[in-house]
Amino acid sequence: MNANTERTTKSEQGYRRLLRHLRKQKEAENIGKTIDNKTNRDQPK
Amino acid sequence: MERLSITKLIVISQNESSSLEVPFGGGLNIIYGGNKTGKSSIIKSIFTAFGCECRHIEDEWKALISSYIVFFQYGDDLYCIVREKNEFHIFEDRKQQFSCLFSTTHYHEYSNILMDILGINMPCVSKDGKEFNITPPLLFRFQYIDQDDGWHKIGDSFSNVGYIKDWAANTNKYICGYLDERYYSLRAQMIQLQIRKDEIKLELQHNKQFVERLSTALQMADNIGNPEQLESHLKNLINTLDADRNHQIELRERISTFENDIFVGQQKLHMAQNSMQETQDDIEFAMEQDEVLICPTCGAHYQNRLSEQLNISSDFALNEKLLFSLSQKSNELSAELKQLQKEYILLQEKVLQTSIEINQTKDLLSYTSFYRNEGKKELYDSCLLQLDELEVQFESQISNIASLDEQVKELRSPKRSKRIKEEIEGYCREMASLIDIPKSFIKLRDFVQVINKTGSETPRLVYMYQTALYNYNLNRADSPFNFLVIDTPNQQGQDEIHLGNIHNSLNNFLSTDGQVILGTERETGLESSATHVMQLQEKRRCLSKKNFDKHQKFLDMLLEKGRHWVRENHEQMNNSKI
Repeated sequence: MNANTERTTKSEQGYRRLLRHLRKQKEAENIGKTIDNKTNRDQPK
Repeated sequence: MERLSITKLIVISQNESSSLEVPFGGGLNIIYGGNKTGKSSIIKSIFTAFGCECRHIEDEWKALISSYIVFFQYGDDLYCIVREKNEFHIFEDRKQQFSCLFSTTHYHEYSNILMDILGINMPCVSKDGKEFNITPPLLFRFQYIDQDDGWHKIGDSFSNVGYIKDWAANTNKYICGYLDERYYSLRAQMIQLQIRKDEIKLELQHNKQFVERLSTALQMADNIGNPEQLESHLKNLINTLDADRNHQIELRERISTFENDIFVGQQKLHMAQNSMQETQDDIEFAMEQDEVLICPTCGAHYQNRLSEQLNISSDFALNEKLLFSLSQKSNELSAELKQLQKEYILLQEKVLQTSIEINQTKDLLSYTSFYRNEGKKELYDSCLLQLDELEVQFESQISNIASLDEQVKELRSPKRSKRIKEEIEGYCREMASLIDIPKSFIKLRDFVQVINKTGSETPRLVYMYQTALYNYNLNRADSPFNFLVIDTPNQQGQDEIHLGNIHNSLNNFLSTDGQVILGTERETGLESSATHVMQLQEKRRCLSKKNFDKHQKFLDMLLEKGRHWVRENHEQMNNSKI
């Protein structure tokens, strides 16, 4: 029972870490995109 | 006041080395002579010597006479005045021993001294606001009926009066005794009392303020009780202060702990809030993802189904509970901190008050303070006494002023004015019946006969009034108004009958209590009853060389005394200046 719960908790923790990692990554990508857009827009043609 | 009687007149001409001496006595004095024999000039010289400037005086006479000397008796005392142009010298005559009383070229100085001698005090004000005593031309204005205009106007023979404010109205009232010496003296007293009253009022106010200040300072001293009690009170105060200060330190510590706890709590709250936001973002992100999540690093697969998402949501609910509990605790801590801070401020105030009280108590306990308070107490007691005295004085001044005011009001009462007017009218009626003036002509305004008639009645009306006023004053009291000078009735357009009546009326002025000096060109029939009769014979030659040397010597003697007086007084004045 204990080994079972431990495994579940580990798996759940892994799921949560991944979820947050992916979210942060996406947020970082979004921020990078915003900056690129802004830079392109501001560059003289 | 006393009766004033002219005893002698001497006029001297230096140019012609000639002089004239005219003696006068009580009763009727007659200067008898034809036209241009010098009667009027002699009469005018009496007034000139006194300092009255007659409106009409012959230039020839003015140029001729260099010195005027008039001798007069006032009560039992004899005086003489020497006038040379603007110089006046007043002498007292004690059995022919003359001593100078005053010598001046300032008219008002002379006039004030003469009025002092006569005991007269009627304050006058010039039109430019200068104050001085009544002057001779105002005092004697009703005692001269001059031959020029005097029989047509009343009391207007002298020119040096116009610069004095309200001269006519004021002297009218003074000379008939309505607003007399007593009135002016009461008024002067009232002014004095009012000044004193104002001074006392000011003193009273200052003292009251001073006493109030002392009283506040002493109030504390009165509350001391005995020094032992004060010492134990001081000990208690110090103990209280110590206890309060310790309590203050404790409170400060507790406040610090609370502040720390609140800070920590707020940090936790902040973290919890942050974590909640993250969890909420995770849930929202998870809902957007596929049912399986693949780790881009290790390739591990994780289920992302509704059940996994609900697990995260239950964490969110737990987090929310934690947030609520943390926030509640933080609020509780803040409220408690506020209470402690309030307590601390109150205690701080208490400590401050106790410190002040300790200082005051220490101050009260010190010896210097003890003696200072004792001194203050003595001062306070004596000030209170003085305050009482001042209040009594102030009250008495007020009642004195009120009583004087009553007296002044009584003097000024219309009833009194009416009585005086009626008395003068009585004397007027007496004279009117003697000189054939209808009684209906008698009309006094401001105590003076109104002159509104023309023809030969006007001079008789003037004569009636001025002789009536003379008789009224003669019977009223001893005064400087007890002499009268009448110049040349026969030139006033009267027919024989009226002139005869005027001459007959002179019978009324034989009393030696008073003095009437009459200038006339005609015999009056009373020459034998007159005290003195002087007959002038030659035209323009009333002066003679006969007594010139004697008169000049006498004048020199007087002037020398005058100069001596000036020297002495100048020395005194200079010394007093030093």
